[in-house]
Amino acid sequence: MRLLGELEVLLAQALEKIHAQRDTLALEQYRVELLGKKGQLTAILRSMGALSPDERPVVGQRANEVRDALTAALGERSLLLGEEELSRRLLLESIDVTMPGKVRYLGHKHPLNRIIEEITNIFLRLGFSVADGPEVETEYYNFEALNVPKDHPARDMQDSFYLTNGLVLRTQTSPVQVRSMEKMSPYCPVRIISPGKVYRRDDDATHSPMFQQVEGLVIDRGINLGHLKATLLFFAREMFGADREIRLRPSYFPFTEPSAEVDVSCGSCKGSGCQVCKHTGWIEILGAGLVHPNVLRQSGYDPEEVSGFAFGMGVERIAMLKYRVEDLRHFFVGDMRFLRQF
Amino acid sequence: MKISYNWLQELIPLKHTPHEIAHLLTAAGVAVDEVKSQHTGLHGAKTGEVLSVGPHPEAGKLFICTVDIGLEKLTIVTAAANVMVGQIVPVAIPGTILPDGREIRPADFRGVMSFGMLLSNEELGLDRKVVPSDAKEGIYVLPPTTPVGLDVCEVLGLFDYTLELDLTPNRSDCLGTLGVAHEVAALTGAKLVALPHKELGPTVASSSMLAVEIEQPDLCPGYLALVVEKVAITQSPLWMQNALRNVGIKPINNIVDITNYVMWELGQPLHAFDYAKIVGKTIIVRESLGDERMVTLDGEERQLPSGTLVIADRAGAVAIAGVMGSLASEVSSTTHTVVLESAYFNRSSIRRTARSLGLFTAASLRFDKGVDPMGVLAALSRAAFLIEHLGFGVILGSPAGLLPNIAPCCNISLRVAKANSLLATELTPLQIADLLERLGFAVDIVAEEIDVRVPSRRRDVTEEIDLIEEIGRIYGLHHIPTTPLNGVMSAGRQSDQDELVQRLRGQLLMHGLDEIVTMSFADPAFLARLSIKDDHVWASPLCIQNPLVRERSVMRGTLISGMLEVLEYNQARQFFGMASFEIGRVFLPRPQGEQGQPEERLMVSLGAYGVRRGNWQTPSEILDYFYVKGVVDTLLPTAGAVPSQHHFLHPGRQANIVVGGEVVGFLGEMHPGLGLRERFVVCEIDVGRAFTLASFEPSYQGLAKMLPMERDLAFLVPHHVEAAEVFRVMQEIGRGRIGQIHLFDVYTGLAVPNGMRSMAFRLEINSTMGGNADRETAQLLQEITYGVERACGATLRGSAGS
Repeated sequence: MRLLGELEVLLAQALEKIHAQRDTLALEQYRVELLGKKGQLTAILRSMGALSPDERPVVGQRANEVRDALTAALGERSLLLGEEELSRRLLLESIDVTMPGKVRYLGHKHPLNRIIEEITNIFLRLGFSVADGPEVETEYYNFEALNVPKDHPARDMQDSFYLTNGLVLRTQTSPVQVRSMEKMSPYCPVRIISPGKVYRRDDDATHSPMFQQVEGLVIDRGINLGHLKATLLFFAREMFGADREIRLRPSYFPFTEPSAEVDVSCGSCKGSGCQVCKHTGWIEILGAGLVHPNVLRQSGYDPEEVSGFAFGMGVERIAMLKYRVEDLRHFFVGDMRFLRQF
Repeated sequence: MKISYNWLQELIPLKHTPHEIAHLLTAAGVAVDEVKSQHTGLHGAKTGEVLSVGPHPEAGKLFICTVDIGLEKLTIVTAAANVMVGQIVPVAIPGTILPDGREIRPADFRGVMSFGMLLSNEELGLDRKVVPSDAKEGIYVLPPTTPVGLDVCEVLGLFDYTLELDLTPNRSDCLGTLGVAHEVAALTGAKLVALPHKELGPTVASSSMLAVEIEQPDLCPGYLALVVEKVAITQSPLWMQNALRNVGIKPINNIVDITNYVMWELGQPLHAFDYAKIVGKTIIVRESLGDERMVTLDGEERQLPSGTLVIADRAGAVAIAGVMGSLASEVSSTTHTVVLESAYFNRSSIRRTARSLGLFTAASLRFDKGVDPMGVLAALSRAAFLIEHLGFGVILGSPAGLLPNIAPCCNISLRVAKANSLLATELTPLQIADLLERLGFAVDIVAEEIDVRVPSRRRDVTEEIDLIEEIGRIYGLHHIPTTPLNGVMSAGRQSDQDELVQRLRGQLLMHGLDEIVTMSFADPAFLARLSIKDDHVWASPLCIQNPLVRERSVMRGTLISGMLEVLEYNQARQFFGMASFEIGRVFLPRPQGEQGQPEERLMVSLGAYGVRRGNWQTPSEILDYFYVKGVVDTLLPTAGAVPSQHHFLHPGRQANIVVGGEVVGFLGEMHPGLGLRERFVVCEIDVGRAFTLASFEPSYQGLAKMLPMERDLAFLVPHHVEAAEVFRVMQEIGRGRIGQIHLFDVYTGLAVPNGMRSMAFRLEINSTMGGNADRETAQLLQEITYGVERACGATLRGSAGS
């Protein structure tokens, strides 16, 4: 039973050697050495032919047991070494995860367009549509149709830019309202806003010869000042915060009557008075009023049948308030140091 | 418009503080911008009489005075050269704090102790603008009748507040203190005091002393002249000077001060002429003749544009009607008879005159905004009263001239229901009538309507809607409830163009371009700088007739002008590179002879220069032609670039952008000969022509059954053959069989013959089913190779692929 003895020796030596292997490659080589076609165990099995039929099954059984034990030990060792090797490799692959990533530059939307989109979205939610019109207007649409007759001081050359042939750079986006009313009359309701560029002969830190406005118009049966107040309160709260209040002060515009300046309560001091609101607790942001009967009539509506309200606000002014911009001219210079902050 | 609180109190006695009045007025639409106290210190300063003036033994420029301040006599050293015995002067005593913060203490002036200070205008804190020019230097001398020992602030009327009104253009009635008093009466319920006036005789066309001829009754519907005799020109009383000073008017003399005082009280401008200077004792209201000149009261010689309304005598113009009098006919110290003028002029005529002369006065402002026709006689009666009452002259005759023939009130019928429906109120006829009566309007309630008579001073109220506004104003807009909009539901919609602009903006921002907004104006010099030829579409921009500056005197015909300004601005500030875009309108005039508004075309401009810095992981990006081209390629994948010849662009680095055979824009590097300090790349595209909303809509094609194969082909292509041509040939041959073509390498140099460049393309080949795929692919590549070689004069350098 020499073979049995050899098997036992092989098993003992092999288990020791398996555990001595330090990497998967060497382990694999040793596996071949042990169990391969020319391996040690194979050699023992081959020499079994010389055994007597009695001995053969005994040795055979033992040989299988040894092979299974070795295979299991090899597998176990291989798994262990594999894990160790992987973690060594991954450790080597580790990077400084705090390093800056690949640069992906995104452009900056102009602050005025941000504000216009914000305002527009608020009114779209209220069911207002957006209307558009020419920036170079006829004097008729910019003045007469808005109840500003030929001799009115508002038509002063001081205030408006004139072109030839009775054309003028629109001084407000209200001509769009008139054009829309003409198109829609006598249909009700009219609910539009008209954002756009307007022009006046002014140039300093708070006035620009070109600036942008958003105006709004509602025409329907039974429209009253209460509707105007509710709409502007909704807008003010959406735009500036749910805790805001509005205040109407009577004023004068040729195309609305009654007219009012609309103030929003100051967000910096919550109404107690600060630098932003010049210690009044209120900030003027809008002009508004009921559409003047003459304007309704001019545009094809019967002021005995319908009424309406209109309002207008300066986009730059709101942007200046919202972003605390100190000089209106920043908006149009295109200084990247300015624009990239928005 | 400045209002004195004390003056207002004289017209309507009030318990309210100045700040309360300001709040009430502001809430009713007569905005008060500022409430300013006139009292700025001077506590303890007294009036004193100068008893003696002597020289200072040690200092030639100083005087030693004894001054009686009532309870005591003080020794005071002064440097004022105008000090004289018998003068009544303001005296600061030890402990007085001057408006500039200095405290007066006894002081030693070269051995003489001084126990106070005689005060000048400046030390009193008076605005130089309201100090008579002869009183600017030295101590302020009070009228000789002023008692000694009185509080200086009291005497100078400094316990007063000035309310600065910011009036809307319709409220010319508040250009007089009385108008504001009416407003305050409506808001507080307080009652107005009746102002004393002199009953003048019936107006005559010409009196025994003066004839009035109105040649232009349309420009001058009313004109009254009143002769005042036995006039002695002197100072006006201190209370009147104080009142004028506190509203910002300089006291001049008793007659002029009264005209100004009445103007500020009633809003009606008055003018005083020296009767002796009126040649022919006739006043003629006429338009100026061609070449009339006049030295106005401010000392300026002025050429009067023909058609200017003037007041003239037989010799020539003596005043520019409603604006300013002449220096020659001015009331002076030798005047003994005065002609007072109170007139009603055509508003636009006065506005035109003031504007054409650049001469805006308190009078022209009021005539321009509109005065009360009833005020013409009222102001004259009030001035006549003050003159006689103060003993400055006597009025013997009647006013000469013409009263304006304008109704004293306007009758309006008001429907209570209409008012309530517009204001969102539920006021009764009685409540409304009360609100209107408080404004001084006369009312009659007739069932559901109210007949209202509006006095002519409220010339802004002529229609029912004006009354409704008045009701809302006095009732208080804060009482109006909020009512949400109701009625037919309507979905808010944006126009397709707005939608398009938002999509485009979003894409450009994602590409890393910053958005700019520039002025719609342009500098005509820009066109010259770019040597734009006369037949170019930009060459004749829309001109502004009254620009603010030449640099902004035309409307832009292209966004490139603004874009270049921005690029240069940032480049000049050492910005190493940028890329930006603008979406906006350009203005293109109608062709000659065609009427109507110009075409406003929506354009998008792109601009770039320099480098966008990368980091350790990202290579820096050069913002050059191909950067911008890449943006355009992505925005307009179906567009082509065709070499172009815009002479302001680099001749070898520019292209037109073509969509569907139509040129929709251009792209290129600015011409290096233009003196720009960087290689600026610009691009402008007509948004309406290049883009449609559909171009931003995805179009789904389904998934191919098999993955595409990739094959590379490299050609040697002659330099003069454009890449677009090679692409075109490959696409044409491969139509339906190949997908994307990438030009992944371009190379010239070693191993590439002169005049050639090596271009390597990667073709995405749509795989087909079946066993012949390999053969079909080989066949396709052969066709393409043959085509490119034949059409482009190229030779195949190599091919590869898996």
